[in-house]
Amino acid sequence: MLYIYPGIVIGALYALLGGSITLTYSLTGVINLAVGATAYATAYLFYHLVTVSKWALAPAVVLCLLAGPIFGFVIWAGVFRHIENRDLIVQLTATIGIAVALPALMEFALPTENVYQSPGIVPNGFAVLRIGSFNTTRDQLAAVIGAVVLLGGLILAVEKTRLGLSIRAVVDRPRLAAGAGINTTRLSAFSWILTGFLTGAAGILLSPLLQLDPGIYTSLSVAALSVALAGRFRSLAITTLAGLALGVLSSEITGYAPQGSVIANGLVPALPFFLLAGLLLVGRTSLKSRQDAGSGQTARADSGSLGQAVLSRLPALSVLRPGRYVIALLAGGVFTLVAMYSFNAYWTATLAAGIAFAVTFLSFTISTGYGGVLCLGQAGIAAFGAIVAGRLATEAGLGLPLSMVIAVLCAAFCGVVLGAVGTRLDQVGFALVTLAFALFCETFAFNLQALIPLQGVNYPNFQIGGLNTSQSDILLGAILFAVLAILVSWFRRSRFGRVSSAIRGNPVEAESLGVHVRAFRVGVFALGSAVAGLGGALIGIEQGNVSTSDFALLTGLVWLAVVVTIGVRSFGGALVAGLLFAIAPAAFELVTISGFGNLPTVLFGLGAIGIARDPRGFLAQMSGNLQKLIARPEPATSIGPASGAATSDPVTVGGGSSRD
Amino acid sequence: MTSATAAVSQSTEETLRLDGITVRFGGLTALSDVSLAAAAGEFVGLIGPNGSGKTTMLNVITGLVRASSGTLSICSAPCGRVSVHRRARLGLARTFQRAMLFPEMTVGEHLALARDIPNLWGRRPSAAAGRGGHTADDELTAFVAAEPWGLRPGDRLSGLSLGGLRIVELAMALASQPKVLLLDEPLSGLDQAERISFGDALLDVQRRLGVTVILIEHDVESVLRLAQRLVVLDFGVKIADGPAAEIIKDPRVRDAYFGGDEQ
Repeated sequence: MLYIYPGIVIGALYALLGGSITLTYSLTGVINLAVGATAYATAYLFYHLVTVSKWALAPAVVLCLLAGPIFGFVIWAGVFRHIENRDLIVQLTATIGIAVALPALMEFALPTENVYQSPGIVPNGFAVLRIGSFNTTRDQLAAVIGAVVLLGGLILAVEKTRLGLSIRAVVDRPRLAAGAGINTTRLSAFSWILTGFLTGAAGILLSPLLQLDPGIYTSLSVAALSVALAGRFRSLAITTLAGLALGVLSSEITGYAPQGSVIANGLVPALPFFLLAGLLLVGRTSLKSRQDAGSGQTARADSGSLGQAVLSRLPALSVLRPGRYVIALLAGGVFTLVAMYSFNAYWTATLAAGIAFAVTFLSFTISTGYGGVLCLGQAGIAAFGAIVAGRLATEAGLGLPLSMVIAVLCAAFCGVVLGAVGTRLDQVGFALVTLAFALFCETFAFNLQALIPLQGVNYPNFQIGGLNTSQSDILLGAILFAVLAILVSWFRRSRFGRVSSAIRGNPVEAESLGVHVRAFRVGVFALGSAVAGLGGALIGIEQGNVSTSDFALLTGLVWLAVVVTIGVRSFGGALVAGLLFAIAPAAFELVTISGFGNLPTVLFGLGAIGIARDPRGFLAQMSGNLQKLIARPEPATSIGPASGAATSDPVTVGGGSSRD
Repeated sequence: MTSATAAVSQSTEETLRLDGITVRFGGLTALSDVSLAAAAGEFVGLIGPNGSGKTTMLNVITGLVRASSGTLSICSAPCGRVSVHRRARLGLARTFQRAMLFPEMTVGEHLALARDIPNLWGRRPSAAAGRGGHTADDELTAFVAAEPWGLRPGDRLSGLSLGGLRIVELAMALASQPKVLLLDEPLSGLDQAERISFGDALLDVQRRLGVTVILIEHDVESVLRLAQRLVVLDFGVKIADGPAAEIIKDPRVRDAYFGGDEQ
């Protein structure tokens, strides 16, 4: 009982962020994974105004309370207004882009050094007050009062006002509500503005209670997501109760567990993972898009379209012909030799890191690009590969090659387990399970010193012949990338590739043709996981040591943003993305202007947002433009009349009653 | 060609059987105690007004919707909890109300995909060994190349007419040489000439493969031309089942389907 009050404080803020997610999902159909980022952006702005710019508290609070809705409106107008009828996966990718870009954008725009803790909205916030039998700081009290007022106001507004009636109508039957004259577009904009206000307010209230770190706020998004899921993305009251319960449970366990124990340091932060995973698996959540709500029995058959937009509308780069393979391999060989011998130690090491990331990013190409499953926890899987390979090679003395093989098998097993669990759900459920897995790794598994010692996992020195370490890393990475690229290309052109493409394009039709879609997805995901494990081991070899920070949840999301931006459907995209991911920060490190180090992350995040609006990917867009330039006009290929059917979307034709 | 004159090979072997199928969505009963049996080579028209449960019935047979109660067997194999892909391997194929194809693939790739799936792990796809000395691949290619579709393997979906898309979907369904073929409004959106051509193609493959066909179609004229037997659903209840020519004259059917004042 002693620790209930601190739990209520943090639980109320979980509830506030969860309520924001619920509101956005109910009105727009978007699962907003960027609530933590929006809260962070506002908290960071508040910190900057008060601590750096020396503003008085009151005007800083007012400005930040205005900033939240402005963030919300800009996000809606710039992104979600254009993709409101798109697939949930597209929208999820866009929110990941925002989650990656917004914190980095704030840090880039308002550079500050050594940010640890922000002041709160009340003066002398650390002062302790005694209320009844509880002790509370002024900041904690402000957080509770603020959360209660905001949540209570929100619930009252939804239940008692005409606006709330419109909201409930849209939540229940969006098409019917639109038909009854409710302006759903305006309501959508309003929901983003309101969400921005709530998350912004939560950010300011949280700022004195949490370390001001984007990774911590991203983890907060998962906690908020889990409590929103408890309320089935509909009930603000249940969401609030779930938030409070999660906060109190965390606080009680932390309070009674021995200081510094695994339970206190690992289990408590991982509680949102257990809640999220449990709710997803027990409830077998099927998150239909808002447009599908209420469509009755056709929803199941139509659920095959989930994930199509970002996954199947991405036109692939044309498959390489055999002759071009030779050219590509020769070009790769020349590039490898140039990278090994023509640069100084700094750039050689950077390129070695880039190739290690390229191999890691191939796992996205396989899982997401070809397999059609969106994995938000690839960093966790890569970390397992890195840890297993490093420890076996260093401590068990197995030698790097055998250690890497075992690491790859472990990562594949991890993929099988995660895939078997995740594929019980729909594609969004799968993405959320992998997100929960990444959180589990970051907050629990990687805190176990039996798994990762405090000093990290060391790797033995790796050298081939007379080459130095970085040259050896480049050579090893290049060979492995080439082998994997050839295998991936073979897979893609084989009958398995056709089946994979069919599943990605239309899983319902593929299954009705006799494909075991779930088994196929598990297999492809396991393959992708194996490659992620290999990539993790390569990262370890290149760095010589890996620690938890190398594979944080936010890092994995940035990886995804980079690959999606460049192109998730070709190994060329993985290669360019990997090199860019390593080279861009290294290049900006050479620029001495403070704060420029965040620019690549901002660009990667904006790229992921852009990909949601135009899902072809940068490389495919460039390829398409080049092909247009060099292509000659071709005669029409169809003898049959081209009327009536497919113009923009050839896969869904016909119509008729959906109720038959 | 009419159903009466078509030389359809029909045996007494039962390929599809539904007994007392009931489907509920929350408070709505979409199908109520519906039973149906169809023999090999039989062509059954499934008709009824909008919302009568026709597509739900096909979804139950396919496994996309689970029945609240009742039993189902395909080629004598009980299928109550059998997954969608396993039903396909038992000999079930279907097309959808909205033709479901794969946007990235050409016509030829669609046919190759359908050919590959039955024996994905084998060295040579089993469906390739067709009847009459031709490969199934050749037959399917010829099937979609026939007039008026005239499709070529390299054609992309974006250039196809609605009829072209539907014939590709039908060809894919036929690639596995199914025992039971479910067709959900395959003629909707086609003009009169296309309807006739599509119907002729359907009758031809049904005769040659001896497949059981369950056809949902709103165009009564087409249904009467193709189906030997009609099953009529209304508000999820089967109200008639029998020879097409007789059923269409049934007053209850006319009342449910045409509102009672259609002559």
